[in-house]
Amino acid sequence: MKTLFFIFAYTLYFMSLGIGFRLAVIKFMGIDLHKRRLSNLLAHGLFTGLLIHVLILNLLQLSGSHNALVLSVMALIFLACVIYTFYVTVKSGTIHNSTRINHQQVITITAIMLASGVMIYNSYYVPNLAWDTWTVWVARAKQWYFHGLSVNFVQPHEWLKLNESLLNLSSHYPDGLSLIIYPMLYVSDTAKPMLLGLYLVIYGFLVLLMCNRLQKLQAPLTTRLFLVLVMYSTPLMVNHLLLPGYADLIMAVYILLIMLSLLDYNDMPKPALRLVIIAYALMLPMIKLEGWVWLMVFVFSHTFIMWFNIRQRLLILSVMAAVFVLWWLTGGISWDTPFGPLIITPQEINLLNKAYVSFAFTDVSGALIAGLLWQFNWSLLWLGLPFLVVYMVAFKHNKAQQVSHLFFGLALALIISLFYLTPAAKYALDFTAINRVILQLMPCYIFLLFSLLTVFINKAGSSSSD
Amino acid sequence: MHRQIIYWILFIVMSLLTAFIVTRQQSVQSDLSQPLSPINVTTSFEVLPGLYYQSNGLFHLDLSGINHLSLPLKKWPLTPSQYAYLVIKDFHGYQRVHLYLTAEIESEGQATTSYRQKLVNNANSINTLDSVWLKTENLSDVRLVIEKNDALGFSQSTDNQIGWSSIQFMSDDMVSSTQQITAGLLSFNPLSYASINIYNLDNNASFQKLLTVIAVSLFIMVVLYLMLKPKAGHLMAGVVLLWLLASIPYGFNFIHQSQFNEQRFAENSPFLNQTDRLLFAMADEIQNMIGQHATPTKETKIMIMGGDDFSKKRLNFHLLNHNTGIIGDIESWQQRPAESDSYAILLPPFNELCDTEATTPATNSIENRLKNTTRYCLKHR
Repeated sequence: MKTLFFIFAYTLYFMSLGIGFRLAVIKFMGIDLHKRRLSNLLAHGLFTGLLIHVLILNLLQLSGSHNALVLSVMALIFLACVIYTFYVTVKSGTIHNSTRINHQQVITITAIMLASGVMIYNSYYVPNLAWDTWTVWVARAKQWYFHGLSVNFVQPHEWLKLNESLLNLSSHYPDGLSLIIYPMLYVSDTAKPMLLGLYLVIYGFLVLLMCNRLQKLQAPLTTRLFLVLVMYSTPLMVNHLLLPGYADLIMAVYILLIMLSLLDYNDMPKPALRLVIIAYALMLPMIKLEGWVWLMVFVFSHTFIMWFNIRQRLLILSVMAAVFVLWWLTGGISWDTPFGPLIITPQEINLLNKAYVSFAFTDVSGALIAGLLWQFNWSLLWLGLPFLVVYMVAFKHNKAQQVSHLFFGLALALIISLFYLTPAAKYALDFTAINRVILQLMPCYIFLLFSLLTVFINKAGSSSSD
Repeated sequence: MHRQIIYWILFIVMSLLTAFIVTRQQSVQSDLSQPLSPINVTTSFEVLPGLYYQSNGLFHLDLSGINHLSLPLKKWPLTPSQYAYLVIKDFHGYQRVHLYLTAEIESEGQATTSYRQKLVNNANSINTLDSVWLKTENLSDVRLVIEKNDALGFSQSTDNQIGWSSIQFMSDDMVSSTQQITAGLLSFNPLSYASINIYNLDNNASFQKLLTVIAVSLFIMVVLYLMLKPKAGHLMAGVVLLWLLASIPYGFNFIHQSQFNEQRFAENSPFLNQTDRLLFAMADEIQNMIGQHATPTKETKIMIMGGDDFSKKRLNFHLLNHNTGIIGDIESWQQRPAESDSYAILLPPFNELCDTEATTPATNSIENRLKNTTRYCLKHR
């Protein structure tokens, strides 16, 4: 009961934070308010709220504040958001597109809640088994809880020398997820039931957003219900709900959110929507280190599609190919700079000893096939990949769709080649990474498949009625 | 209208045909003129008396102190490689264990290799022995290895027993392939620490067959759809149908897993397992001895000695209200300046160091041994 109340309050807190900040920023910048339907408003409120929460706590960390002060500041900000949202609502009548209660929406939401109930039934009694949850994310939140949010984390060799710092083996990880977990520790030490609740809420709202988007593409209710079924019956994604507290699923959520916002922006190019995309892109590196990779892939895809026409794109591609071939043939560059070696050769890359990667081919095909194909219905999804590729290449798409296609293709190609060519192979072979990295792209992929299915059904429907 | 009927009829017929072709058994070449009879090994195990007994038509195995059953080959009339199946009937308590069939394989001119195959976790465990087993001439040291499924560490008193009505080696004419595939598809995979990374890699032979059927069916369906052009809803219905078909094994396991979890974690404890509960109590004891239970401080360091493993990581987690960490070697603790306030916790087997080091007076003057038990040793300097 306490857990249920906490989850409700915590969700409400994120939503108020997200909606309040959105209204305030729009007012401050003097741009148009983009009214959404209620479910979209709440969902985007929740997801922006998570970002705002992480950003503010990150800032408060710099000030070296005490926890009590941090909580009071957060409470004040929350109150301000609630009051401001209330004020704007009263003043302008409404902040969302008023829609009548829609039977289809009621059915979709019921299906999502039912599926969440099934997840709770499986996971409720299970303790916090997810290893990284308690060794990394919850552990750090617990250290903040006891020693203050601004405490300094170090690696073992430094910890032995320094007096005031705490030891945390994942001190180089971004703080995002731990900051979201941090307030939970004021309620209970394990955080597991609350994590389960929060993950189900986040995932549920994501599925709802996907359904709403498909509805906009004129997908029939059955297709949307099928999407709900797929999202809650893909084993590995479900396992990340049953053992909540890993960052991968949250990463997956934000990757898809960027795609969805891009489609929104394509429909209605308003500055308010552009801000939302930037906000979600900002969240990526705050969740996990791979976030930087996804961010770069996204920025590249976006720039490549949005800024250049086909002829320019071909030019860029050929220049890139030429540079690559030249680099390959000449054996790259290696300089000894005063700051350290700068080596970019086909054997290794060393950027002033700050970033280092060596290349060596490892055959990870077995692990890849086992990972992609032998995990129940997950495998069925990959059977859709050839159809998706044909659809991507052979049909005409708007720019937002092109960006999402290029992003997905590049990201998948990138991780697979990283597993084949770099020491990351060992994480593919022991299955600690391959599925979890692919998992981060999974909702994006499922959404693309369903867009394809919807277009196909609509096209067939319109041609048969002609 | 009839285009749709033809679409469905063709789809179903061709899918069934695919299923038939995929599941058809490859018959093993046999030199014998008369048919083989199954080898019943139910009572051939070499087990200490009293641990394996029969009652109510079931053979019970007491798991305490047992993790493998040896199968003496000389009692058998034929080499096991002529039998492609191992069948465990009425396998009770299959949720509690992981079963493996192991053997030593000798091939000509090569060193012996070890054979190990995971057996299906199902009330009727029907296992197709893999090609390595079937091709070999010389098998020795055949065993049934039992690993208790207590990776999660919540064991109960009833967990120490499993049972079956029979264990038999069979040839392919004695096993129905439908039964065999069903047993494989509906085999139980409990939640484990690895669940976050991978979903079920054991026993996927049956699923691979199912997936082949589904993939071919999907292809047939798309071709039929393009040829006959029924309404799009029919294609959609087919896709949903195939998804549901692929979901059956997963759904079955999900329900099973839910019941298993509910039973196993019934007390809804915040601890991960029994070991964790003990570690929490240990952390509590240590904090009492340090005397800083109420006021956590960053100045006092607590170092847990040794590499990262479950016990040390959990103890560390329970002591995070202090400035706690896991450190690889005790020297780095001993080399710290004498004025700094710090504690060292040594868990087995490192707690033995406490006894040996106490004898050297040099270290004894600054190091103060607070507690030394079989479970841990706590030092202060």
